[in-house]
Amino acid sequence: MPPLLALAAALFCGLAGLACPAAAQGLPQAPITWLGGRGFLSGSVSAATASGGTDTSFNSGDYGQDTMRLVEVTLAPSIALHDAAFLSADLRAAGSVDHSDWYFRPARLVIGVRPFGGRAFSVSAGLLQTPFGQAGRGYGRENLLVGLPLIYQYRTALQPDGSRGPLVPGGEDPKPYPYSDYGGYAAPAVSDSYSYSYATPGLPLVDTRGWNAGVRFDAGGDRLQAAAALVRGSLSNPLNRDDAAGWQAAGRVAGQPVVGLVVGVSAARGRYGRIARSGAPLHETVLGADVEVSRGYWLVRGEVVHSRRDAAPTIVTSPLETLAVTGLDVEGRYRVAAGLYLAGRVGRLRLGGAGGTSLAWDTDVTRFEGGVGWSLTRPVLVKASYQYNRRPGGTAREQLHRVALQALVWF
Amino acid sequence: MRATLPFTAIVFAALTAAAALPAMNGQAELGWVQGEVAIRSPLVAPPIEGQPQARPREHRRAVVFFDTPPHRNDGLVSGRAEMRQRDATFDPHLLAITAGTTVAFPNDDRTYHNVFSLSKPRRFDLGRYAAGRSKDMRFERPGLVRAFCDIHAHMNAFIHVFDHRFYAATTERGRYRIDRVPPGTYRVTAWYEGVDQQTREVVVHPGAAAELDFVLH
Repeated sequence: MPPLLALAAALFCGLAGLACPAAAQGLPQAPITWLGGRGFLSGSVSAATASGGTDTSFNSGDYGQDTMRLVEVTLAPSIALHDAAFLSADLRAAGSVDHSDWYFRPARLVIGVRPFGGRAFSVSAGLLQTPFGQAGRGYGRENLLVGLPLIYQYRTALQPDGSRGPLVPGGEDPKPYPYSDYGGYAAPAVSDSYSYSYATPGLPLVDTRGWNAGVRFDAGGDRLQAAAALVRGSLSNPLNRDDAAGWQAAGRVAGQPVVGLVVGVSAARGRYGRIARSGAPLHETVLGADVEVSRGYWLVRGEVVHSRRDAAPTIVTSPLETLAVTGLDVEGRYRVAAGLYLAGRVGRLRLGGAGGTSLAWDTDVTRFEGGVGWSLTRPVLVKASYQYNRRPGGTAREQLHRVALQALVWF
Repeated sequence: MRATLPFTAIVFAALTAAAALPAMNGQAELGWVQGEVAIRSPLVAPPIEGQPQARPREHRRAVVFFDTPPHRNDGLVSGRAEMRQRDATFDPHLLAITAGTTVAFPNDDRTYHNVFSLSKPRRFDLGRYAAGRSKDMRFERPGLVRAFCDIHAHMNAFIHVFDHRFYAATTERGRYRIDRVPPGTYRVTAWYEGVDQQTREVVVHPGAAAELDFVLH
């Protein structure tokens, strides 16, 4: 679907709901079922726009697009092949509201089996989402605000080949980098000298919007859930095919000690890339802890992630350096009335020294975002938010204020 | 003194019988509508979110109601009703009540649930509450209210609110009966989620059943 058409469709549905709630009531209120209920289809159309032009510095997302000026269409069909087997997919198309950088890709495409019948244990294989943290939430209705949490979106200077972007204070936003024909982030051409000659957004701490080829195990009930996966690609650099980076193992355990409190821990370890010239593998280790508390009209979530990644040394003959990042996101929501909520989020990325020294390899980032969400009817949600970003130097802007609006229709 | 008790009893019985006579005559003038609603649509409740099931649970209860009731706000019993949250579903999935009824939403699961509706006749949000707790909501305005759970996207339910008493929800076998209907000609509608509702005319005779079946596609 062309981006303008998707934007028009989302805005039309949103405005139709504003103008005529009765018409909006006619939109699908639940997943569409077919094959006598053996299959069902859910999906969404969302369109977001923000002040200040395209920002690929603080809000750079998939393929370098601005996550606050994005049109996205998703379709998620699932079919039960048998009592113990199912097919499930999550197809996405997205593009910037003001650019033609439109792409389509499956975010999930798996076949799953439940070998023990009614027991809550399943094995899925295919293109899947790596289990980690609270990242199961998507871009649309699960996201309280228009922007995304820093941990899952902000592009550090680290590139898939282990090199780093320049530490240039001020300056213009870097240009979006081209995307490759595979599901991950395209590595720019690597210079032999590691001279930090390019200023493209690098890898986030965690990217669970991408997909990895692999196998995943899920088990658990109301009180305890566990998931583990062995995948190609990695948490920060999802790939669906072998790029010689090797396998990564990831897992998450979440418990609900009391109703309304969910506590989870996650870990991932594996290769996220390799140095192009030498072929040396680059590893990452990511640890995370998260908590969600809810009661009445309140919902509060917090998450902390610590990542340590190998990086190409500044001097070619030196051993690999280790780049550390610690990210924290805390967000909350309060439902003011039926269909109306207020939300806020504070995020902070603290980037440690390189190679065990205090020499910074990128700059810390702080973000605050506050806003409001209004459901006209259940499937029509409009969000508005104000976002403030601050970074004391680095590859591009030091501060950014934005006001954003998003219309979302889902079923 | 001994004669007083039998005499009092006789007088009381006579008065009671005299008082009951008009009512009995009134009952004799009333009829009722009954029948069956057959649903040919393959529509079923969506399976649990993200977990397609080969044998999903089906909801086969419909609502039959008078489009043109003989009178409104007469004989309304606006008491209490209940819609439980059990195994991440609303039970019953469909509720038919009279305006003014208070519905309790107990949470029987070991996880939080939240009941909310953005339907025009009743917008509400009960917030999140734990197992063993229940919250009430009173429905004043007639119309169709769709209820959902904010946490479990697949959970949904229907609450039909009527400002008259001439309605009935079908049994799981599709049978229904609407009692105490004054003789006359009425338009009666059968409703089932996700399909076109059907309206038919029925003639009610005193003291007799009027059979009215529906087939919904």
